[in-house]
Amino acid sequence: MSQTIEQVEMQDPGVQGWRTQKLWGVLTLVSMAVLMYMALVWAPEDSVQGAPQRIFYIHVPSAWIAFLAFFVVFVCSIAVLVTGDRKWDDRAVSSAEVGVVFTTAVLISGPLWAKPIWGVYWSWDPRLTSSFILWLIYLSYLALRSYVPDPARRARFSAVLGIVGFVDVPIIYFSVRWWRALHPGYVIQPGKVDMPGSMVLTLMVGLLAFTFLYLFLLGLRLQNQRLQNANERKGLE
Amino acid sequence: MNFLIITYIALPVIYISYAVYLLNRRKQLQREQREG
Amino acid sequence: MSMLAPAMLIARKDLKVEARTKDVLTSVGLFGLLVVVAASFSFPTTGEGRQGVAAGMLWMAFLFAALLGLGRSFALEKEEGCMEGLMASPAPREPIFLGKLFANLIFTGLAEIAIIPISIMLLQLEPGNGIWLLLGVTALGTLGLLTVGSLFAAMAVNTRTREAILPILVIPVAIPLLIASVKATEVALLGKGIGDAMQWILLLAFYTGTFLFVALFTFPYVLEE
Repeated sequence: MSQTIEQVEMQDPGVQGWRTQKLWGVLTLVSMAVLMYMALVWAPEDSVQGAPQRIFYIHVPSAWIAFLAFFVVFVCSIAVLVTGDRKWDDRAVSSAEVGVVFTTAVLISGPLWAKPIWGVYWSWDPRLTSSFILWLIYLSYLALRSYVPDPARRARFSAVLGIVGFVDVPIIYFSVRWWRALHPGYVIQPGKVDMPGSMVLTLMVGLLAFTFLYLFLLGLRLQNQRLQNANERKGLE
Repeated sequence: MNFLIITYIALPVIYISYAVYLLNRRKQLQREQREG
Repeated sequence: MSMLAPAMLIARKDLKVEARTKDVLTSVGLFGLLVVVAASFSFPTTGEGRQGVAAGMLWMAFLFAALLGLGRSFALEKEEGCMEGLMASPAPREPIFLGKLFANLIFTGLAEIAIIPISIMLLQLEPGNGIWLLLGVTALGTLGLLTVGSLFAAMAVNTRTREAILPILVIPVAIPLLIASVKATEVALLGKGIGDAMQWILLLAFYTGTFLFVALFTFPYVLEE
């Protein structure tokens, strides 16, 4: 190749990455199909919660991947400040947006699981409440960006929020947990230790499937970001 | 039982909608690139 | 501590300007007070659990007062162009942050000193010995709030909507601080000792320390042109 991949991507940001995206896409579809079978058919029904317990297999992986997405934002944010290289900002905003989508899924599946089990859609459960606060933080991250026209400044400001937001996560979790522990009727979260192997396996497959989904969506979003950057640069000439 | 079905429909709808949105945006950006 | 002297200079500048115009102080103090008044008409102030409601109301007032004060404080900075002058010098940025933080502590603190006794009267509270815990929690919680708030205010005034975006940035991040402050304040208003509020105070201290560190690290990047 007489040109580097970077140069090819600069000319047509879609080309080089598209093949990888197709790979993630296919892996996602396959693993999701396997997951659907395992979660809805193969895994045994929970004796206590019954059928709604199966929501667990898509709710929990969504939550873990959302957390991963925001960790990626955190790391990329530090890189933005330390290196000053804009590509880290592209990665940060892409992961943040995808993370918000996953968190939205968590906030929808959570109450839908809670209603048949506990009788209420929302019980200020610490984990769900923490997810809700996280959702608000990264929404404010995306909102902030729309109010800063200068790209370099936008990258820096977003990075600061990306760092502060993630550092806040453990503090949020404990504050909510302690807060709810004072509330009458607080039930200690049932641990996952007693899960039969088949359930654990299904959860692991779920985690794999949602990781592929994250990589697929992240890749698409990142490509779009680069296309947008390239268009903006051309527009300035 | 209903909640199970609703959730297993709602979540794919969320993720697939987002993927579709990304793919459409991609087409739009590529079109702008050619016209630019 | 080579940081403290320049920080104090910046703080003194803010305080001197404020002493002349009383711009920030009147709006912040009055606003905070009005929030408590409005809340006392809206929420139950008698009966069981009213200390919890009062604690919540106090911190809503403190939150809005702090946000208002921060917004004005940093907006004035931008309007006067003081920032550019400071930026042009090769001096370290951290004292600027500490200076603004300290000045806003005074502003918000003065507002709180007015809000607290009036609230105790209006809401018929009897903290007794808990008054010391109340003041301590207020001080620590406000410090934590203003630490994050100052960092975000420096960013906010450089956006298209200026200070308007500040609440959107601060409130989600400050939720754990608000939880801890309100719960500890409730303990104080019930006249209980510090022991019952220990976990909240530790959380407040951890929150403040952590974000002070993060703020000092990231503030220079916020000020970059």
